[in-house]
Amino acid sequence: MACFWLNQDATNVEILSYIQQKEAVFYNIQVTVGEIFWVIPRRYSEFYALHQTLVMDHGLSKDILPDKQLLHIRSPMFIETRRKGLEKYLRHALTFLQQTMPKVFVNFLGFNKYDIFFLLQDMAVKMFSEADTILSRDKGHDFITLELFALTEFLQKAIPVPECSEHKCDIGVILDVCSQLQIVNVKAEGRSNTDTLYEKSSIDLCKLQFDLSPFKTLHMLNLEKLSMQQLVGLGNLRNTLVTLKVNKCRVSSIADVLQCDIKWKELETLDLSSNDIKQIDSTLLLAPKLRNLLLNDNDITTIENLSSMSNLSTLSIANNSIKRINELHTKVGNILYLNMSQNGIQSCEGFSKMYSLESLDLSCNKIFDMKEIQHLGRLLNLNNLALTGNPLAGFVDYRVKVLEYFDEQAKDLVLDNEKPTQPELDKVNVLKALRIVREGKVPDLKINLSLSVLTLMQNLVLATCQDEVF
Amino acid sequence: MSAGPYNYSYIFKYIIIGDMGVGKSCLLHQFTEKKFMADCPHTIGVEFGTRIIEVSGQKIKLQIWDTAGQERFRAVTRSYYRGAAGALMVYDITRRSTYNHLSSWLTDTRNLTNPSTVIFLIGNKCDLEGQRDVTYEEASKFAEENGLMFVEASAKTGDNVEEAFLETAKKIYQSIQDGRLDLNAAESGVQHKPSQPGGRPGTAAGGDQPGRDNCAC
Repeated sequence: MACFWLNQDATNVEILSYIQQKEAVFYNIQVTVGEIFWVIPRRYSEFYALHQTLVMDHGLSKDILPDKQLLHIRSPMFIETRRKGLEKYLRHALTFLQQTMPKVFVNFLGFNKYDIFFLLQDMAVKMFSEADTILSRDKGHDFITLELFALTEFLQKAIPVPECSEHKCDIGVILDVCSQLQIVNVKAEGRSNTDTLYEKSSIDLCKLQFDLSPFKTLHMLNLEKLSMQQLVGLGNLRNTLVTLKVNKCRVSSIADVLQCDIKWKELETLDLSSNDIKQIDSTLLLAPKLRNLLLNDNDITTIENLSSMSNLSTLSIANNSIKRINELHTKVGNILYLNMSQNGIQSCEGFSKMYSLESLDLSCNKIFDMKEIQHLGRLLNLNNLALTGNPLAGFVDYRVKVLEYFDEQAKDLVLDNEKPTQPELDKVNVLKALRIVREGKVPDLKINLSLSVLTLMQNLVLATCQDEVF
Repeated sequence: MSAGPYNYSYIFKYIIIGDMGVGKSCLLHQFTEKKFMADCPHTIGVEFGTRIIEVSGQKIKLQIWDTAGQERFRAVTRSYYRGAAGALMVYDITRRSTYNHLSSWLTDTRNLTNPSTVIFLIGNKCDLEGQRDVTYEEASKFAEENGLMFVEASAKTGDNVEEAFLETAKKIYQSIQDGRLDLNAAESGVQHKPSQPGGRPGTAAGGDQPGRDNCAC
């Protein structure tokens, strides 16, 4: 990021080009401060308005701005002359105003967006007037990396700010708000997925390191599209953080996030979805209170190192590379909600003793044998099951066949987000009766069946009898 | 609907703990199936059983988690203490070492359950009087010192098995009546299911069941 006060001698303004959009001509002002530059497009009318204020309030000489003109204003020659004139004007104004740097001039050149000091100044003003709303917002406060980097730099480097009423930047306000914030979202929004430069500048968002220690009472931190190397002082949040989300940050191991040795005392939810994690490693033990672990969209192949997580109740590992599950109940304990959709699972045998499960999502796997479902039939606490997107979900009477394995429990089982309908349950009962008949026993006539079902059953029994005759 | 298996008003969660081979799975089997299971295999991780009982006219469903006693499963079984309303701590009266380990089981239970969890000490295999290694008086004193309920039982003959499970339920029910146990707390190990006509009481919100009561018979 730029810092004007440290680079006053290395600051330059140029107008290198212009763009024509319909009626208007935009002059691309390139501001260079030290090693950083950015481009900001301005129209002549904006120059004119700026000039009026500067003349009135800051004593800039009146006649240095190129004149207004009415004719031939779109001819290239005229625009070129005006470009040169405006560039000369800006340089003059910058030299004249470089000690005072009036707000209107700062904003015109975009310093408030790319310069450490001027950005913080704006932020302080905003936080002073909106502190209550910021702190009461349920969704927390959104920071861009630039803001946090500016804060970190400002606190670490002595920036020589001239004493002038216009240059008061009350950093205390910012720190005060930060120390009270409970939910913070930090997102790096580069120009595209591969280009990490910030808007129209040469600031590389990936290289900005920032310190999280100003957040003293943070409960929830959401990080997106950052790299872990950018974060300093994440460890300072260990005592307060309850929820930590690190998404799309190319994290390659859980250890990169939880670091080592010291416990995360309050952490209950850890969401590391959309990263490059290949393994569930033992650093999770540093978060003994962890209840919810979300590792969707990674590259995990086995479930391991979770046996000691005695508070874990939700585990979500959707869209990973898990192909086989063996005796899952010896690897994870008392979990209620398990999402393993979009993996390559073929067999349900490994789930057969996960008695604690209330909800199991196995959608979009490779289960094709209906017999696999019998392993789930004994999960007496299960009330929500998703199997859609598996090869077996395309079978005729798929729902009824699945529900049949659940016996008495079937009527309370939400399968693929739908409760069983009465006709489905009737069919399940019919299949059950048929099975009993086939096994040579007398069907239990105490089962409550509606009249229509009895007729249906009769027909089916007749049909099977006929089958047996031929 | 006839009195189906879902006609109950409370769920109590139990956990059975204790050293390997003291007869935890056999106690569960005796309680749920009323049979003795000879040659019971080692439990891998955890097993599960349910039975509906009646306490003071209330139907209560017991969800019982039978944990593996082997040390290698200790980590995984620890997670089942969470939300247990009752803990049955079992030792073998013919093996002193299983009795000596009780204090470590008790520490785990106290650390991992909530204060209102009822802990019941069971000295199993009391049919093997000839091989007795721990006296009734000694265990009884230990139970008293630690505020535990205590009984000697036999999963083989069925002696006192029902009593142990039922007494625990009575004590839990008493805690509810006294208001000592907060039903709304997630980890209380007790769920209240107010009876609804024609269906499992208190299923998930919005679970309307169209056509269920229009059954033609």
